[in-house]
Amino acid sequence: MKELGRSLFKSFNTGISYFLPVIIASGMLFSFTLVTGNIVDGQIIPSNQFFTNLYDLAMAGFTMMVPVLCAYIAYSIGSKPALAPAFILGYVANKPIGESQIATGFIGAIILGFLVGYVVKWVKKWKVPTVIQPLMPTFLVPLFTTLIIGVGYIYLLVYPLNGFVQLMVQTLTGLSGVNAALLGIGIGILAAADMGGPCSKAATAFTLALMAEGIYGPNGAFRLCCAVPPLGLALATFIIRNRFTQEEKQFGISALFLSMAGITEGAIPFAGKDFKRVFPAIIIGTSVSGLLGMIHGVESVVAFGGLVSISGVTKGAVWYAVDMFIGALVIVGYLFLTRPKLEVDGIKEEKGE
Amino acid sequence: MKIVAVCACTAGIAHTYMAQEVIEQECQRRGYVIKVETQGGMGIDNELEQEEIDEADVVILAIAVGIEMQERFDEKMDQGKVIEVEPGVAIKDIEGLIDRAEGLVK
Repeated sequence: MKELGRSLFKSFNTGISYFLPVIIASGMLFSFTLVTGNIVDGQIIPSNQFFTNLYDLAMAGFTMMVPVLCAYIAYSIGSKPALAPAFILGYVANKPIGESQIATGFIGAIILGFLVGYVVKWVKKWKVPTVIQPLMPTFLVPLFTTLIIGVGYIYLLVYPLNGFVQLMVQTLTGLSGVNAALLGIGIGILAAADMGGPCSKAATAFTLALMAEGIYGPNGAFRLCCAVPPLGLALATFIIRNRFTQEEKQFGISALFLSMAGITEGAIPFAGKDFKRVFPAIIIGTSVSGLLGMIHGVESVVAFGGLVSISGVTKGAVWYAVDMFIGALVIVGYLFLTRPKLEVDGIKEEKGE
Repeated sequence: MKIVAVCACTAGIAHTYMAQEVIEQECQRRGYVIKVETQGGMGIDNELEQEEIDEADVVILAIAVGIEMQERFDEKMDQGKVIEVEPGVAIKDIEGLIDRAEGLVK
């Protein structure tokens, strides 16, 4: 069971790894249009033809991202022959289809990716006559898989999936006041918990799924949270210098740059050396940021965090930066209270090595 | 002892290369021959030849995603000479990981 979970997760991650560059490229292009354009009733009006063109490029990217996710989940399970059917079906998931014109978006694409992968893996094992063998990879496998899963999806799978997606969207849209605050804390904890690992990626998938439904608040909160652990630790090495070794101060500088780009992994070297103090510090600091981000209604339309992506923040850009720094300062404060002063200063320590 | 490894994480920008570094460092410290292929955001670097894989005593796959050309390791897999872990595990406890690799050879 554990083995299955791990292999599912690995396939999901493979999909995410191919999907991220697509959404980052299109998200950043989209944010250029946003910064220069005017927002009228939630619609963006690009300011001139050049930005209209950028906007179209961004939209092409957004259209591609769901099929890419689906295709590479399937690819990691069924390898090459799974790509074609999964690209087709991933596109289908994101497009209203069938009699009731239902689109299941991200969630549908993820499930279809797994289905295609396993069906292809199974079909590949068929013992077929040698004459047919050459037809398998380019003809029979893609055709059979697309036909069977595609028809199954349109006639059966869309209904429960659609119900589930609608339920999730309603619940989260309905979150307001206290509940939004709780959601913010949850997002903060997920963002910090494993510093760019599976928990953060789960939060990414969740906030992106909501973005596909037009809900941008959780994404805004999450994107500012991504930067908080490395930022807090970097500031700590600058502010309370006597509590860090020379080596950690160097990590501090790289952590600062990583935090600007919203790469939570920058916190890892610190957590590796002093887990029992660093871990609670970043959890507390980041959940404070998440909480504030949700309360202040920060909304971001780009799937990229940190200060460099502030142009993608459509609501509460000032709070985006302020909340980020408040959380970071909480981390500094926590470490100030719990970390002992070092007996040896940096120079002595270097000599000692 | 000869070890070959592949590192690949989800985003392919941080964990992949951090895992590569710790594996290389620890193996050099213990005096082993080591080559680490990375499959990061920029694609495959330092690619392992089939010959190098065949000669290796142990294969370490520090991966969180499906990797390209996994079939190169099929033979080693059948011999039980492959250790697969998350890149984060390698970074956190590199000594434990290389100890495990040593255990496979004895």
